[in-house]
Amino acid sequence: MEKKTKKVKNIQNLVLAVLMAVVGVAFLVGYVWRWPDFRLLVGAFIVMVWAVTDFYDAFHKDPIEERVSGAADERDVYLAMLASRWAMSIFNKTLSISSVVAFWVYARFDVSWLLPVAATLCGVELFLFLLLLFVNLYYEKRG
Amino acid sequence: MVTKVKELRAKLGLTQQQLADLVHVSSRTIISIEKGQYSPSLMLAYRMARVFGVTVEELCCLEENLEQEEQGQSRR
Repeated sequence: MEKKTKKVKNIQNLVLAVLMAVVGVAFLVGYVWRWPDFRLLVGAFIVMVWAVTDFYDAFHKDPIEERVSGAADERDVYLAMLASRWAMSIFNKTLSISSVVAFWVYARFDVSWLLPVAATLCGVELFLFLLLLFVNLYYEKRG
Repeated sequence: MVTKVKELRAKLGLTQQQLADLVHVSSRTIISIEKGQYSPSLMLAYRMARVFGVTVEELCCLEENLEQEEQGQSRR
């Protein structure tokens, strides 16, 4: 009797599913360790549902690029690139202004909870900058 | 980029949708090209030129567009 094996259609989803499963198990271990922290159980449930969804998609759905390529022409791809570039630019500017304002308000009015907020915003911006730099370098090398 | 797509399409009596189907793009892309809002890729320009029976240079008015670009750059 031949065994039917399912072919992985989307590796990205499979990797994400595995990661989510690991995180879910970590949450469950944390829940047992810090009994009874209900938040960890809720977190584990949410992440496990996500993992199951991604596992299903990994074996049943093609990657989004292939699904879209049938419906989108070159202008659609161009507009999507333009839109994401603008969205990224607006997001960066919003992050910069927010972190500066948060630092200023913290310094001026001694609002203590704003310091971790401002520091987090700066951290996110630094991460985005480094990410953009490395992705840029990657595509520069690939030509 | 200014092109002769509208003019050549009218000569052949094609609708925008018919031309779009022949060159495998959407009618929105043809509309944008005719309005000068979108510049076609090389392959799309070549497919359209084949449909119209002209060269890519004639279809995309490359000489005129290049002159305009050079004039714009010299003004700066």
